[in-house]
Amino acid sequence: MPQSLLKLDNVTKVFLTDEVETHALSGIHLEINKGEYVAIAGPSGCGKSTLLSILGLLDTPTEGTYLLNDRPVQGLTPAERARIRNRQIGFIFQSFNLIGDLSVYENVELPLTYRGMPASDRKARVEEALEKVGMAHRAKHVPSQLSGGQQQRVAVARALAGYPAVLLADEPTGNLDSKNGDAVMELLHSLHRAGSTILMVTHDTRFARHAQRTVHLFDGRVVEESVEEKA
Amino acid sequence: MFSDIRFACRQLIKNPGFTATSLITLALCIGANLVIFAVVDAILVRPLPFPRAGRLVTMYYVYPKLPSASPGASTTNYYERRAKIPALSSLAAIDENTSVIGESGSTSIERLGRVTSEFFSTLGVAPLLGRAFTDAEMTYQTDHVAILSYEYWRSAYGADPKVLGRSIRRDGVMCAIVGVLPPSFRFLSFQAPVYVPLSSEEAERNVGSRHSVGKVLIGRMADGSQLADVQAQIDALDIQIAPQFAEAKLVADAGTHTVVAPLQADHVAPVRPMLVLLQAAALFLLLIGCINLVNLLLVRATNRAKELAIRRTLGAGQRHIVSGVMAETMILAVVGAVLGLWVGAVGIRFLGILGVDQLPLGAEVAFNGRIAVTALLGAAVVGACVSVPIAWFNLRGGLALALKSESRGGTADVAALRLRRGFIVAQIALAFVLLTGAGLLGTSLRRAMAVSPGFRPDHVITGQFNLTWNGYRTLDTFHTFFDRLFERTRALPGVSAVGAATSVPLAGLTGGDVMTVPGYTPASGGEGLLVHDQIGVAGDYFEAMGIPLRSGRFLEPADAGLDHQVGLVDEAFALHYWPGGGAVGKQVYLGTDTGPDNKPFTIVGVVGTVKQAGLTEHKARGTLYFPFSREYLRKYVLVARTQLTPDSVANTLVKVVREADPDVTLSDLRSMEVRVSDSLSTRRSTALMAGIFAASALLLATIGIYGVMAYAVAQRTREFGVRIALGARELDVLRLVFVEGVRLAAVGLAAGMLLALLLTRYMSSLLYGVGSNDPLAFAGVAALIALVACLACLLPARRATRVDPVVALRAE
Ligand SMILES: Nc1ncnc2c1ncn2[C@@H]1O[C@H](COP(=O)(O)OP(=O)(O)OP(=O)(O)O)[C@@H](O)[C@H]1O
Ligand SMILES: [Mg+2]
Repeated sequence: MPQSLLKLDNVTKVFLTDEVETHALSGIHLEINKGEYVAIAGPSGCGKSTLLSILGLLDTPTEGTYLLNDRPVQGLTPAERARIRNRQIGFIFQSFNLIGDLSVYENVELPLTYRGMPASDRKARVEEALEKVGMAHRAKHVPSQLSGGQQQRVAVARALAGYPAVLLADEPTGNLDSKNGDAVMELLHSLHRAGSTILMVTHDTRFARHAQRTVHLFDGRVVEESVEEKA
Repeated sequence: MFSDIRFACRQLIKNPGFTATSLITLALCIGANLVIFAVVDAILVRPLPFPRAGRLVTMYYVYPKLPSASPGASTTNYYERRAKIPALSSLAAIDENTSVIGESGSTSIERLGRVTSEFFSTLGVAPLLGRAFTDAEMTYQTDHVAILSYEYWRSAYGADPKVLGRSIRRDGVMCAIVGVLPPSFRFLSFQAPVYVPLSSEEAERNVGSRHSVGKVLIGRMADGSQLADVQAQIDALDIQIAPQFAEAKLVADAGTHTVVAPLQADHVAPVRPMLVLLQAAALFLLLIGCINLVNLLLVRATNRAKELAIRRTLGAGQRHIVSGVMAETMILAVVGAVLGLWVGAVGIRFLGILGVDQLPLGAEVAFNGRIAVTALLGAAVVGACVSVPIAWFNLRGGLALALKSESRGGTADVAALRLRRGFIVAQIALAFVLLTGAGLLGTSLRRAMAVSPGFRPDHVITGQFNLTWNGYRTLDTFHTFFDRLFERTRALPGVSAVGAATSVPLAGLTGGDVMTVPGYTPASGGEGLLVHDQIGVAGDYFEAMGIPLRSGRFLEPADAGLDHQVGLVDEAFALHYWPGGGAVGKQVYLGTDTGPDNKPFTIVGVVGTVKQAGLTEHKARGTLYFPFSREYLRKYVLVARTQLTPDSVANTLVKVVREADPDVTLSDLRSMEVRVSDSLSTRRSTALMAGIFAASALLLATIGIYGVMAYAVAQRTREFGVRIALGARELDVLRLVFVEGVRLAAVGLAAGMLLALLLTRYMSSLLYGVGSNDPLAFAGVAALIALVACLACLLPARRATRVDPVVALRAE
């Protein structure tokens, strides 16, 4: 019996800028179970990133409900939302978003420090995460000394280090060449095999095939869901 | 170059916020400097308005081991030294005095300069009309001549061209007008409408009066002579004639010698530390303002890094870049200076309120071309200095780096931010020094104001009057006048006590005298002669002034009829000679002669010690009070205690005095509370000015910290977005910003504390009741700056917590 992790019900997101309403999302129904690997695809501006922001508790829906672990997230205080982001969600961004002043090690450690974990535990987790992405030998470097692919691997390590319930990746390969992109995809794939729940935005159908299921968005609506044949 | 200026102007106009902030900062800082510089220039720098004023010297005795003795020169000095010092081409003396001038019924007390024959020629001033005095006019029998100031000639004689035939009534005696001085003649700070001969009799000129100091001696150095020559020749003469003086050993034991000093420097010496301090404070303020300017410019340079990179790609050399920067800073500096001139001109007008005209040469303070030129030159220096870090920043690193900085997350920003942080640390340090200085001055003022003056200053009105020479020749005439005056005054409604004294507290003492107490052996270690204040009193002076009686009794009218002289001493005097008590009944001699010719005073009472010279005087000199009738003293201060507000009886008092004798005028009417307050005016103005500068410095530093923190937060928006996405709570973000601000403040405070420790000791002569390293002042200022730094971080920190991660992370 698959266990529901994220559940969106009739979610709508409207942006108001200069008296112009943008309907970024309209009536989205989406359910993601534990251990699933889901890709979100669609043309530019169709609302993929917006959807991910809402799922990641970075933004709130204009309408509709969002259940995380069967609990509604509406009405949570900012501190509670921060806590959930910190413990349940791991973010991977298109532009890596590592903090330039911190070393690789410190970047990965960052989410752990926010939950007040003792230094020795943090060290174990960081080393484990860096090991997983194959960046342990670069722990002391700063991001500007790394290639794009390496930076993204560190970003994945940072997302993993906290053992989140779900990894949210927004075009993780968008800033990478195909070789590095493949490597990162391979990494996500292996994480999934090891049990991680992953939600990845991509408009590259080549990568979408790694996922078990692809949700197609168009103009803020889900237009199609396709299920990949499991090999 | 011209295109640089045009481009810079366009840039400045395009950024009105930046331009306005920079110009206001510069205008205020330059203006503040100008205001102080106007004072410094007039008092310390600009030569006196006499030909070759640098050749003028003054000379006076000092008595180093006799701290109670005032330095000064005597008439005897003048006659003994005249024509004996080859290094001086001329020598003159002046007695700065007051006198009753005018016809009976319309007299007024005016300043009066009593001068020797060569006084004006020594200064290099020739009368506009008539002549100077002659040597023959220097006796009491021949001194009925006067020279008028130009201003008095115009106001009192309607600029009468035939004034030389007319006369002027001085102390009831008609004096022939023999000359008129050129316009705005002034001797240092002394400006008198009338000058008369410094007449004297033989006894005042001979060796016995050598140390009856109270005159000012000036000389003009002969061509080719130096100050050291004058000093050497006077020293030699002093040694040669020393044995003639009866108390030669006492004088020698006191370490007595003559100081020869440049006239102007000597005159302004008391205010030099205060002025230097304030100018330093103003310069610190300017430095702080410049730092803000540099920081603003660095922000702009950061934003324009790409533009500059493009320019350099297109072949702009170092020279082009530097001249572009210079054009902008110079325009700012010069426009800032012009605005600063305006601020300074306004400020200088307000200096009068602070009592600047009361300072030595303070009347000379004015806005003039010298100040304007100095401001513009100063601004050019400021502009050049400010452009250095900006030019460095623009040229720093290779071109590749500059172009790349856009794409790789702002290495330019990091370098600029680091530089700006360094400046902020310096700024906090400078502000710390200024605030500490102001705090110490403020504490000194508070301590001084808290000092008990020894009398009750509330509800006391005082006014000065002079008795004329010809009207009061016998003791009886004095008594008649005082009886009449006191009787009428006492009859006024609200007046509870009235008296008079030759000097009141804080009024600038008339001088002291050596006194001898029979049976007292001076303590070893140089205590040979002790100078004490002597004050003649009449009526109920002590009740009127509110000076308490400690033992014995006050003086009474009947004391004048006793065949022995009686007097009172104050507690300081009594404790010095009779630490165990029992002063009443003891005897005191004026001078050192205890022979039968010198009648001693018998002490009949001890009164409380009052602050005579100033609230902050270190040690009371000890005072002997005696009935006014002992000497034919002519200058008195009338003192009345009233239940009404003192000012409300002032006019009535003037009338009463006039009725008691039409030749006598009451002037300088001030309540004792005002006198107390006036006595602190220099201290107050200094503290106020320093306070204004320190507050401005704090404000500028706050703006500086705010600017850097706000910019740093803006630069790190993306980082904050990431952190918030990763689960940083509001508190985590706040802490991040505050830690950064607090670290800056802490480093700045540490540097400021070191700097203050080094610098505040130079102001110890201006402090009272507080050490130059007062831990309380240091701690207070540190707390204040820490608080202000936190406030300055508050807004940027809140902004950091408001970063929307969705927006921040999308922005590429
Ligand atoms: N803060 C905002 N204010 C106004 N409109 C917004 C905002 N954020 C997103 N939008 C709009 O919502 C729509 C969806 O944007 P979103 O970023 O989700 O698209 P996307 O599918 O991620 O596109 P891309 O593939 O180009 O990244 C777009 O039309 C966008 O302009
Ligand atoms: Mg997107």
